[in-house]
Amino acid sequence: MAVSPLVYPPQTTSLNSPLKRQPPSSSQQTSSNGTPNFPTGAAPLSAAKAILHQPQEKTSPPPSLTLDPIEQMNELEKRKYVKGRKLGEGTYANVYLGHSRSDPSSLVAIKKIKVQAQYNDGLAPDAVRELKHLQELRGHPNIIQLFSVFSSKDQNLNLVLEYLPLGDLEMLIKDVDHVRYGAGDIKAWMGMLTRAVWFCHENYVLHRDIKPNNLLIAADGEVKLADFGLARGFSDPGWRMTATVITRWYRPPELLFGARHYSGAVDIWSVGMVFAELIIRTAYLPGNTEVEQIGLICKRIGTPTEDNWPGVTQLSQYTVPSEITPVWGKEAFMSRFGAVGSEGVDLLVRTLALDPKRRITAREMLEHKWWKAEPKPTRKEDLPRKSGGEEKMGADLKRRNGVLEEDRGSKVARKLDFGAMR
Amino acid sequence: MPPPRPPTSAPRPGGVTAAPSTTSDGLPTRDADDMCPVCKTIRYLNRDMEFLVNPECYHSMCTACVNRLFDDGPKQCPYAGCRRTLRRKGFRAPFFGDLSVEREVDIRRRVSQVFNQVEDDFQTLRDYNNYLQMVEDLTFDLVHGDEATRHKAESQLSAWEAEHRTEIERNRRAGREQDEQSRKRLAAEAAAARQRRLDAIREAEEEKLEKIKIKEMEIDSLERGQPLPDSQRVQLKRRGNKAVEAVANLAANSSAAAAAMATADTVGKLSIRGLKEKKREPRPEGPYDPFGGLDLTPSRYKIHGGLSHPNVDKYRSDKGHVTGGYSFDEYTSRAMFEAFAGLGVFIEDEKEVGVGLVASEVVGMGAALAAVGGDGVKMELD
Amino acid sequence: MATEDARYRDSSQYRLWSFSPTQLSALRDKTNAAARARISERLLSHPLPASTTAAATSKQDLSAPTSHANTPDPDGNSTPALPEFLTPAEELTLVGYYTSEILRASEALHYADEIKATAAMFLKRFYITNSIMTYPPAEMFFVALFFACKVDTGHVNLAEYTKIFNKSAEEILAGEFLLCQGLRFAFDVKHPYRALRGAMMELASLEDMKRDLKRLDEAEAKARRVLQFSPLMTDAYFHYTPSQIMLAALSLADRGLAERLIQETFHFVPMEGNEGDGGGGDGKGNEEKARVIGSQIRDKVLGAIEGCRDMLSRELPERKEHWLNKQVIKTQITPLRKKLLKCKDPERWNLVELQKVRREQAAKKMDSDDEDDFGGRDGKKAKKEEDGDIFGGDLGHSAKKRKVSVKKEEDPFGGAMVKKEDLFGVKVKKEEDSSFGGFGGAL
Repeated sequence: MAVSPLVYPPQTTSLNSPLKRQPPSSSQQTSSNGTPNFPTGAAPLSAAKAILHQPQEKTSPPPSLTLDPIEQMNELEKRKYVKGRKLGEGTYANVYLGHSRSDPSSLVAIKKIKVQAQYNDGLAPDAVRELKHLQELRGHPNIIQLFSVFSSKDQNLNLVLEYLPLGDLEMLIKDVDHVRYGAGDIKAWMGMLTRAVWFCHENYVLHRDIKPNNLLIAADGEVKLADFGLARGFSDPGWRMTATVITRWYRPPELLFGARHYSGAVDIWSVGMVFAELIIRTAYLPGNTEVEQIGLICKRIGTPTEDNWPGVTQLSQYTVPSEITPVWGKEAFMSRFGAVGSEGVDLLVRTLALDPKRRITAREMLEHKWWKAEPKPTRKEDLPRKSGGEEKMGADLKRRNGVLEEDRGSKVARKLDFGAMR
Repeated sequence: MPPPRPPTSAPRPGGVTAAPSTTSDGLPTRDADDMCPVCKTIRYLNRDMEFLVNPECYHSMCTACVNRLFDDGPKQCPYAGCRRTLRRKGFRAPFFGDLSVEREVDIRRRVSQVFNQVEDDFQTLRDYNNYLQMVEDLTFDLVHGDEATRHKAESQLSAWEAEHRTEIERNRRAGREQDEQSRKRLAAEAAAARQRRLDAIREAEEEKLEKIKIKEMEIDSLERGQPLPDSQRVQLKRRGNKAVEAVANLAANSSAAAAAMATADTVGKLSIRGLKEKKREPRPEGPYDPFGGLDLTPSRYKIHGGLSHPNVDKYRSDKGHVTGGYSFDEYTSRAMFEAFAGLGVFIEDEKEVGVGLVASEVVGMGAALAAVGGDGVKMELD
Repeated sequence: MATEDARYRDSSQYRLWSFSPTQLSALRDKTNAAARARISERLLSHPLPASTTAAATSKQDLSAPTSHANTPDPDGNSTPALPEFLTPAEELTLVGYYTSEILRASEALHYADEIKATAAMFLKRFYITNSIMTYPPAEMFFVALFFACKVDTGHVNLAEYTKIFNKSAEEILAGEFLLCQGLRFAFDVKHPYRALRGAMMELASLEDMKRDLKRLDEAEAKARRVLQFSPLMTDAYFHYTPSQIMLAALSLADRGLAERLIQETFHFVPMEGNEGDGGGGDGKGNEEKARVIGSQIRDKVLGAIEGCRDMLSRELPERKEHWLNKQVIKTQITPLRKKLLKCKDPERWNLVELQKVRREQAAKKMDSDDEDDFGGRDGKKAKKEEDGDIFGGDLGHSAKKRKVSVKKEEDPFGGAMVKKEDLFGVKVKKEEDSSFGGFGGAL
């Protein structure tokens, strides 16, 4: 473990002259009142004027565009932040470290989505979905905050997101050699995850891609649910949704069987999978294909049948191994997951109910007695940490949102939801 | 491990003026004598001569003497008047030229191994600093105190060690990880400082916005030819609120300090005040709330079983909905929420007066437009 | 405070897209004025071939005009060369017309109510901060419809779309980013349709209503028809919340039902008298309840709904005919469109061309945003600033220093020095804690 990258991240950016790249005219705009960055009152007026003339002074070549009001607002928004070094680069998005211009110590992550890349139907739907939902799910401590959005000259979207330097849960789970944690820590993490999911569901949003590497960790240890690229609002009765969502290992049986009318229960299954993974420190049901995934569910949890899940055999893609495994009881889980105590295993088993109607809801999860049982959840400041999170955040955010490796083929395009159009 | 006794020669307590060849403690400075005090060999004759000390008494002698005297087993220190029993194993090459320094470092090391609490163990920074001060007092007594103080300090130290063995052991183990984590802790501290600054800036920003808002209100009302006592009152009231908050915070802090005082021991044995109790791992303030203090229970309507609609009910028996786990409850609660959410939100009033920071958004929009708008024409011409 | 109201205030619809009527008309006026200014400027410089400093129209260019014949009148803002611009009212009329076109098109496509309404609101929101003279509404309304579809269903097949509307993919995509920016990157529009369903559920659960389900059905159908048209053709979405709009529509359909629902909701009567303020009794809980569901708020809600109802009445569904009426179009719309074509923005009107120019500019800039990295030359200085605790840094610092120096047992000198320095402080401290003020500050 070399020098931790978190300690001094911002020095790479120069703070004393954030305006050095600006033409001389813009400097008066700061000197006049010292607040170039806020679009209210008198300040923005002068700022806007200065900006207005910038491109003209800068670029004399022929097709130069002057800025319209909305573009100036964008410019003002953009100027609130200073983009720093690159944390990650991908084909879909680049992630930069950034900070507020007015306060260099307030760090942000700037996710620059390459609009023109790949998707030739314009702005990628993942980006649209992410923006749509992050704009509304504001203010919850366990959901990644979107501070601002602006576009850069080349028409790329820039999402200014909360800076989460301590990596993600996957990193902690995997580093068996260096990271040790106990039942109190698991309880704390699960609490934060469950609250995030509860908040989404209370706002009628399905996340549809819960997994450890979408659970990022803030500097104070708070876990934040990120990546809303597959999220959507709850559907109304009669409207179909796509079944090809949620990364395979965390995908519930109803989706594997092709259900098109589902509920928040799909996220709860994923939460249960994360719970199990936190305890055993390896993915609980790591199927390599959908068939294998179903096989694993049948073997380790039980075979879905008409008895334990009425109607399941009617689902369009229902296929199970011929050998029927009865649903395992709580006792069977105790041996492997006993670390979280009997109450904890009880909660786990409830999240893994095969029939989604019988699965526990996020609210019910939070009302479960496990939270009151010993040991108490660890304070977030005391949770185990690991360095190198910054790169990890870069890597997590630059991923195409909500990509399901095996699903993003021609097959998916056909499968995506047209039902709502009628 | 027996505690190291002070060297026999009586030290001048706290003395600063020392003889050139001896320290305040009367220990020989190694550099000063190039002669082994035991065998009287001079460095001139043996260039490779090395001196060793035993932390029992810090009397230095050359390697040859050590080997000669102690190879056969423990013996008394050859220094006149020193009755310490020394073992070959205990000798080592001193790190410092000044043996008093060597000794002090050893003492400090030992003390720090016993008093190995870290800042996190304390309720407040002040408690931690007081603790450090207490440890420093003790160390000082051990290093520089006269015979009596030293004995007293020594016994205090041993008593503490005996009493808190398990705790010390735990802290030691934690310490090992702590080295690993100290860098991270630094980072966390920096982050906390950043947060504080951010908060301050935010607060300042809010105040600034408020001011701007109020100014605009003033201008507006001036334009309308109205007096402005109202807006001023708003400002005063808000300021007042902040002051009240500050006072409340202050009161909370001072009561915490009082509580810390109350737990402090009075006499005799060493006591550390403000040490957090280990059992109270999760914050002392109240039990864990799984909902994180958020209550989203509706206040204007109730979700009850009687809520239904023919266009919804027709799907209740649909297999696709039932088997896939579609939740009609989720739909009902959403429909009800949307029917009642925002009923008491009066946009015209709120946006004109400005609830929260929202008005500033509109103001910002207007300002950007104004920059090129109506007055923009004039701007182009002047 | 009612949680359902607080939560609505968190929505982007409330934060970014709700205005008082005064604010909204001021914004529209400003947009119109801004467009006039920019377009004048551009038109005046336009005839010059794109060379030399043509595009650059700084203050001097205007006040000290070039050799061009059409010199601007230095005192006024119109010159013989400049066309007559649309007024804000005329702009609004045209936006209304194109909104009705969106509704017509999406009806033909059998889109869901939500998508239709989202598309309509996208167009209306876009033209609050953008003038219809700057960007062509006939193009933008396709873009709005396309993008609404993408937002609400998560996907749309561009190829199908272009076939139906006989537009090239390029034409639709050229405006997409522009639209997003105009929407301030907030894509969620909250509609009153599901709310209507909720209201009907609540009403249907009332004992006496159960006997009159037919009345409910009729009212719902009628209210839905209102919601599909009236709020979208007016500014209701900007001035009222979805639940208020829903109740206003319900009241247009069946006033009795709307009032009944409000009565059932705001039913709290704290005392025998009607005055809600008389404290005492249950105290706080009562007060809170009165504030959320008491008679005072009820009257206010009724007032808002009445206001919304008036607004909706101006564009009742029957007015659909009006917007389709050939005579109306000929006399009211066509002249405006002709006028519009004369005062359109020469630089922005062609979206495809505009997009090309933007791309070229971006390419020239060589992705300058990536260069904003502000190299690490001043790293050390920056670090110092970073460490400094603006907040009474001094106190914090001395405390920290002290702590560190005492802790470093490898450095006996440091330790001893601290000892000497603080010898007195410590002794005093034991008697009187407050003399340890330095740390008091750091607490």
